[in-house]
Amino acid sequence: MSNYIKPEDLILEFLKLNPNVHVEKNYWHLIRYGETPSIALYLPRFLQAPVLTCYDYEYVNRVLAVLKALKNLRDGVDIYISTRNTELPEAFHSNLPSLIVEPTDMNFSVVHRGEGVAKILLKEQTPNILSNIWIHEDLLSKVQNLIWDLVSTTHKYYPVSRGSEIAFRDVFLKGAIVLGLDYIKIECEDGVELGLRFLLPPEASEEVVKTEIIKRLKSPESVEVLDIRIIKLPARVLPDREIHEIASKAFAEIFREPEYEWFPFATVFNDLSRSNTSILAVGPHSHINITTCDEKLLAQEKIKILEIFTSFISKVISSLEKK
Amino acid sequence: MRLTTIAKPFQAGNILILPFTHVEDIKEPRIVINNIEAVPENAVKYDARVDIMDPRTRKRCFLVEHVLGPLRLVGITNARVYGTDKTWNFLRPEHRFAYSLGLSPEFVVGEEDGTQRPGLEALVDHLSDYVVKTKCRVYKSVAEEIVHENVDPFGYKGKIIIYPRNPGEGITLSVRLFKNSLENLLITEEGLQDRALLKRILRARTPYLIGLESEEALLHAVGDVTADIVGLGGLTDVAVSVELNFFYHALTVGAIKKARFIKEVEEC
Repeated sequence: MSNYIKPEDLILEFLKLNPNVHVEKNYWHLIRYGETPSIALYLPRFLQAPVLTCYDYEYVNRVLAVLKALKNLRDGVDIYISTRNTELPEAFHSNLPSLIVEPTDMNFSVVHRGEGVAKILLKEQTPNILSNIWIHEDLLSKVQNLIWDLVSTTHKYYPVSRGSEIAFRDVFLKGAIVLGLDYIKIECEDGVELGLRFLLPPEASEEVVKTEIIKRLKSPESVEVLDIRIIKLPARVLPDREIHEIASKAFAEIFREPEYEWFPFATVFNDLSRSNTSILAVGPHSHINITTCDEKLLAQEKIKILEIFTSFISKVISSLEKK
Repeated sequence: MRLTTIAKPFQAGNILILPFTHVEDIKEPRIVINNIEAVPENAVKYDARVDIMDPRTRKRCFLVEHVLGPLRLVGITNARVYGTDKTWNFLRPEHRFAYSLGLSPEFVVGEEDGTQRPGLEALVDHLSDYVVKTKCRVYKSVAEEIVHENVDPFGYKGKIIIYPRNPGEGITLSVRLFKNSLENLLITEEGLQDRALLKRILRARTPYLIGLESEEALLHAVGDVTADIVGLGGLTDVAVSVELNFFYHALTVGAIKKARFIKEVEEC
């Protein structure tokens, strides 16, 4: 294991820049530079593995872009960085104008989808006797079909279904109700219980999710929706606060007029937005990169984007310091 | 070319087109969408679509090409247009963008199926009932030949040339989209002369949803070129020759943003 780089090793790089404060809670680190911070930067890690894998390249790049900006400007900044995919402690909910550095593909994001879980029952009275394997096979076949019906997204105009190019699907899927499988539990008496996870857009309720589940079923009469629970509400902050104004100006000067796009799942943004509306998520790379080992890491275009992002952060920090 | 407007309010899909009063004060083609002027300097996004933004209010209007092209193709140079969509469709990136900014669905003026503007077809067979010619005869062209080239994110090259033309010569378009092309389409103050083709353009879906290789994609692209060059530029007499790439609004709007214009009021 000693040859592997741990996410914690990145924290050491922040500590080399002589912060005033370093506190750790639940794999989140608060690292403060200067006496009176004027901005908070959040750097969440989305993966759980204790060592950095190829999937972490977007995380490492986000972190390095911030580190580079801090080398010239290390006063008045609070950095909150996580080394695991864990909940942000309440004590780390900053009231300062905050940039949440997430892989938004350099779009500005002020809307994040919510997340929830559902439980449904496939009503099949099947004696679960494994010796009668043909009965078990029949049941699994029905379960398999049901799962595919549930997770398949289709649309009359947009190429959202499996088989279309991922980049095109993603353009539309970011706003959809996305259903995925959590667990399968075969109950002898009632049938088969399926646990589902879902992502939901703003303005959607548990009732809307239920309607969507039923809509996707080929035989709704054989299925009962037992429970639907939203775990994290979708979040929106309107971009009318100081951080948005400063970030927009800095972005337009360095790069282009900002474009707004949703982030597809709930993050620290959703938690923070309950108490602080001066927040904005923006960062290099796409959420798609969180599960992609990119071989072309050193491509010129990506380096250019990282440099732009570093300049952007530096500009935002210095603009807030001047205020 | 004489300036034209619509005789009475007309609902075309998800937009309401209203007459432009006091054209004589304007003296040039002018389309205002959700109170935002459709002019090159207000185009803030132009790649897979075209968005305009009012620099004062910072309000933004999405997919304006599917208003500007169809209006000019049916022969309307001056109008006020309002989006009328009331419900969100968050699968659409433009709806998500509008929601992020706190705008309502009305600010997205493109149709959800990616067509140009099939709602205007009803007008095509009765143009004289709806389109009124004003007494203003104006001329607006580019001051000199514009040549603009670019490479899209997929590496496809695009090239556009906009030639000035004399008063009264109208607009001609020659458009190539990959293997398909259409030559010398004539747009006058009556709009696109070929009415059957016009209807097909109004129904044509975006290449973004159907791919680049079909004839339908080319027809859609003709509407988009009309929007970006003739509509945004407010031109009356010009010749356009273009080889489009994929995100071709970067090419076409990029060109019209570079242009200097000459204007003349012949009669008003």
